[in-house]
Parts: sequence; structure tokens; C-alpha cells
Amino acid sequence: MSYEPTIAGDVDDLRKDADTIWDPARETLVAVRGMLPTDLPDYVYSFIPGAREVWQEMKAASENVESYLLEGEVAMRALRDAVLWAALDIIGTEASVQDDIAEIREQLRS
Amino acid sequence: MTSYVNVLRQMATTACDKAEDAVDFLDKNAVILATVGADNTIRQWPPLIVVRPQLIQGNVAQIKFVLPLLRRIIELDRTAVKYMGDPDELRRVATALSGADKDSARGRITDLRDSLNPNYMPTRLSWEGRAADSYRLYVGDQPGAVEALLEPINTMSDVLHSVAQGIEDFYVALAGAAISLSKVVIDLVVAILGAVAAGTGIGIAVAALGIVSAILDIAAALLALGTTFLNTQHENEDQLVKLGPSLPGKWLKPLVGDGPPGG
Repeated sequence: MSYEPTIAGDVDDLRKDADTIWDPARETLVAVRGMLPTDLPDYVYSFIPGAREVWQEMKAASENVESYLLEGEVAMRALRDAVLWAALDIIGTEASVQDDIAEIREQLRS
Repeated sequence: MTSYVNVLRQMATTACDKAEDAVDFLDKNAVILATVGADNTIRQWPPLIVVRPQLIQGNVAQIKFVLPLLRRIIELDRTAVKYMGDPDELRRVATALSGADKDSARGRITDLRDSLNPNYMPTRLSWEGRAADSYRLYVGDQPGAVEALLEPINTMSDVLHSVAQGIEDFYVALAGAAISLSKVVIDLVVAILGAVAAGTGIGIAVAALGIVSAILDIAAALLALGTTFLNTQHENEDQLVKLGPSLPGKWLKPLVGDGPPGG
């Protein structure tokens, strides 16, 4: 599917998608990543037979989920950036919008 | 509610502290105790007065000999206490992952999955064209990628609950033997002090045999219980292994800058 510059769209709605959908989505993934038992020490699992192996597998599973979440965070950010770029495209066709452009560029840098 | 294991841990820690105090007391007062013990022995067998210095020296040597063993046992017990496990913490993490609360990882993931629908988004009506169509295709693929998180999150939570229960069952079955190591140290120090008071000779060798026997009993109990609990932990391990190294979902990332979205 080839890219075609956006020519019709409400800039405020595009920015709302960025602010109310994709930024919170990324924050959710960050929060979930913080809940994983990746750093839970082995002694919490006890020395009862087999617990150490469970600890090792739990660590591996957590790390897999963690890296998947990191990919998701990148995807959410890319989607946010995509709508902001689209907003810039539209603004570029309008006059007297330098402040908006500067604001969006700042948001893209964040 | 605090887990039984944490109550046990507190008791075991107290026992370790008390045992350490008792051993410190023995260490600091070794000469006095050896002298009192020797004098009490002489009171019962007066001819031994001629070997009083040797009796004292022998008693001190016995006490000093046994001290490193006692300290090592306490250290071992402290390690055992540290590795008793923490069912409360395991359950806290399990609940954070998969509790009924909307703030749990599962709750957040479910909400996110449901919210990522192009029909609910502010741009649904106002943005048109091929870029908008591409964008909506990308958005439409994200809920599946989010959904893929639910299985591992739920499995991890289930396993954490299971390990927590396993630890509690283990210590209930063990009936508090974990605190026994320090308790036998305390018993040994009490036995030494009793022997000093009675003037029957310090008798550390006999008491030390008692401590070895007590430790062997604890080890045997641990071994016997070990096999009972091993199967459950193997099942937990298998559940995690089955999750595999990668999740079934796939995030779609639009190119940005020179071709957003759908470029």
C-alpha cells in the first residue's frame, strides 16, 4: 500500500488520537512491564524442591513478555507519530499555523 | 492475611537471634564458665584440686572448640530462613498480574485491547483518504497483539499462586522444623550451662552429638517431604516452558517520517 499525503482530516482529531489513544496505550504497556516478576529474587520462591527451576522458567517467561511489551511500546509510539505526521501534513496546507507546527514537532520529539 | 510461613519466619529469626546471643554469652564468658565448672567438679571430687588449671584449660578448649560449629549452624539457619520463600509476596505479584482489579495487568490489557478500535477513535469521522485507511488497518491489528499478552500473564499468575501454596503446604507438613536448627543451638548452650552448674564436667562432646542427631533428623524430614512437593513444581515449570520463547501476537509499526501511515 503506497503512501499518499493526507489531505483531508481534522488536525485536532488526529492530535486527540495521539494524546488519548496512543500515548495512554504506550503508558499501559510500560505499566504492565513494571508488574512482571522479572526481578523477583530466587529466595522468594523458597528452597523447596523444584522451586528454583520454576524461578528460572518464570524469569525466562517474564523476559520474553518484557521484550514483547517493549516492541509494543515502540509500535504504539510509531502509531502516535504517524497521526502527528499526518496532522503536520494537513497543517502544511493551511496558513498561519506556525504555533501548531512547533507544538506538534515538540510532541514528536518527546 | 499474613502467611503462616511469614509467622514461621519471624519465629525462626527470633530463634536465630536468641541462639546468637547465647553463643556470644558462651564466647565472652568461656573462662569464667570453665573456672566455675572446674570448681564445681572439684567440690564433688576434691582430689582433683591438683589438676585445677588443667581442668579449667580443658573446659575452655571444649567451649572454644564448639563455638565455630554453633556459629556455622546459626549462619546456615539464617540462610534457610532467607530461602523459606515468601508466599505473601508471590501472591501479591500474582494478583497484580491477574487479579480481578481493573488495575491488574490483565485488567489493563483487556481495557487496552477493547479500546483499540478505529470506530471509537476521534479520527473515525474526520480523517479520510488512503493514509487514513492504512492507519485503520494498522489499528485493527493491534488488539490481537495486545490479546496475545493475556495467556502468559494468566499462566505466570497461576504458577505464582501455585508456588505460594506449595511453600505453605511444605512448611505445614514440616511442622516448623526450619526453626529447629537454632533451637538445638540454644538447647546445647543451656545444656553446657547446666553441666557447669552441676559440676559434672562440661560434657560438650555428648551435647554436640545431640546437635548432630537433631540436624540429621531435620535433613531427613526435608528429604522425605521434598519428593512429595517436587511433582507440583515440575507441573508449574512445564506450564511456563509451554509458553515458548515468543508470543503469538505481532505488533504492526507504521513507517513514519517519509511515509506514514501505511507507507
